[in-house]
Amino acid sequence: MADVAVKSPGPPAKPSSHGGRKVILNFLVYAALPVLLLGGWQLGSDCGYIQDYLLPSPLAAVHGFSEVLRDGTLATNLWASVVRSVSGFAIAAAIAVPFGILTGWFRLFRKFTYVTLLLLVPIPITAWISIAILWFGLGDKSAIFLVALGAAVPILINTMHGVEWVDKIYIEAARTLGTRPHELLWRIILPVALPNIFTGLRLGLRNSWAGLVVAEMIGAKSGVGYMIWDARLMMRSDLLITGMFLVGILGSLSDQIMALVSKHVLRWHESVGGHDG
Amino acid sequence: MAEPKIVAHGITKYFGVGAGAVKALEPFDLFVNTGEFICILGPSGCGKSTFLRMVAGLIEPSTGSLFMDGQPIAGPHRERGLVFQEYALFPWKTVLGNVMYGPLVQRLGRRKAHDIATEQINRVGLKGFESRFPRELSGGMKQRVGIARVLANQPEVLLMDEPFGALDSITRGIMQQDLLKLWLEERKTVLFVTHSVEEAIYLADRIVVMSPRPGRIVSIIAVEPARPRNLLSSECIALRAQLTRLVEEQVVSASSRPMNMPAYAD
Ligand SMILES: Nc1ncnc2c1ncn2[C@@H]1O[C@H](COP(=O)(O)OP(=O)(O)O)[C@@H](O)[C@H]1O
Ligand SMILES: [Mg+2]
Repeated sequence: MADVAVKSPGPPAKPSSHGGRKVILNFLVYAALPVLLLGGWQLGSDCGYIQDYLLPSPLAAVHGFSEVLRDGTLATNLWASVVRSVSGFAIAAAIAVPFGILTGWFRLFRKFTYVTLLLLVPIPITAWISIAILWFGLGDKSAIFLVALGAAVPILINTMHGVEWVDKIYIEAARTLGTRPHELLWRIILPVALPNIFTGLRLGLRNSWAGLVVAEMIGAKSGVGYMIWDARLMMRSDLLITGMFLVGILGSLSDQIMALVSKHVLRWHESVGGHDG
Repeated sequence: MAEPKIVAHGITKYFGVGAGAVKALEPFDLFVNTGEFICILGPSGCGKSTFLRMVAGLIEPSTGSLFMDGQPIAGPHRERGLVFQEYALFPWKTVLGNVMYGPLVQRLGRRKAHDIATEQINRVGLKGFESRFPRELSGGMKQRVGIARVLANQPEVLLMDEPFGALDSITRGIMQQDLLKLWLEERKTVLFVTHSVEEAIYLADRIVVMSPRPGRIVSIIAVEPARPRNLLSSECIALRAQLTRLVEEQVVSASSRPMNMPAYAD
């Protein structure tokens, strides 16, 4: 069995002579731009090139941050946003994944929903805010609605395509191995479409933050979006910047978590790892 | 060998309808005996896969009938296992998971399925690779999994569609030897598609030579020498010359046909 020896179990250990230096070098490369930007920004503020009411210095933003941290408004707003985001996303996944499978698998259902989706899908999430407030009033519900809607569209589209374009050869293999037709969906279609479903979930999560921020700006009295909006009204540009950074951190963190989950679930898949670092 | 295992009676296959229909298979008659190793030899596009997929039950003949053990073939069944040139392993399952798939679908239970799969994995020489995913395997190993997965279902007929067609010639030779060994242990009925004359001579009891599209049977040739065969023996060399001539004649006569006169359906 000569070809069996092609890959022996376990890869050989990597030589690590320059490992430490490489890590430091890598760190420098990653850190250089943010440090430069922040430094330049601080310097620009200190020297008076950047007007304080337009863009406060990073240190001023840090002060604003510690202020809201101490008086508890940060925790309240963060918690409100996280709850809305998680529940909205969960609702979106619970509805859009089954619906996407249905539309992907049943051609008649796909035709049946085609025109409706064609018209609804391009409406940006921001255009839904008025009707969300009309239906759900100010507060959690309309925010959750917008988060769910923002997440649902990419989840639906990607799930649908994943199921629709399942390579027929897996179905043929499964059928000749004795799979009953009604078992195909669960045993074959779903796992084959899983990479696409996860792509949808990740894009949906990214998209949902836009929905959350808009909803909180206009339709709520708490959350990071409200924080940003309120800061503008109060002329507190330091808090405005703090709020924006928070949204960035939340989005980035949730994206990383999603990437980890997807990497674990799809460890059999070839493109696991990706290019995101 | 009283009753043939597989009987193909006057089957044809058209793809599409009307004037644009493509005739893939001419009336095709074949008797395959129980325990026989049949190689179907023909140029690519002549309808070999089409025939095999009809026997598998994945597609239906346009006309004619197909029987196994005297019963019409209606749809796929685990008693006719198909090995694909592209392997078609389930990428989300490990080697063990792939081979256990058939027994699990048959509801034999996890423990039984595990035992069967382990045995077949050992038989094809993949012991120690049970927890690997297909993407971690070489082509030859993938096809070993493909064969083990089908054998775990204990099919009565093994259908193999150019199973070694994507492998390098060294791996291919080893795979042929190992397949022959497996076959000699159980003597299942095998329909093996290939376009390699040598492969057919090495493996087959009988070789079915097909014409280019629309495929029809040009000749059926019995291979007499005892196994394992030495392809350099005078008998095999003579057979090889005969088959090569036969195949080439077919291809030449097809390519001398005017290009704008494809074999459309009437
Ligand atoms: N699903 C299909 N639709 C249309 N034409 C097909 C289809 N499958 C096969 N054919 C045609 O039928 C002919 C025989 O194909 P195939 O059986 O795959 O040949 P082989 O396996 O001998 O290479 C080819 O000309 C091919 O293009
Ligand atoms: Mg083929």
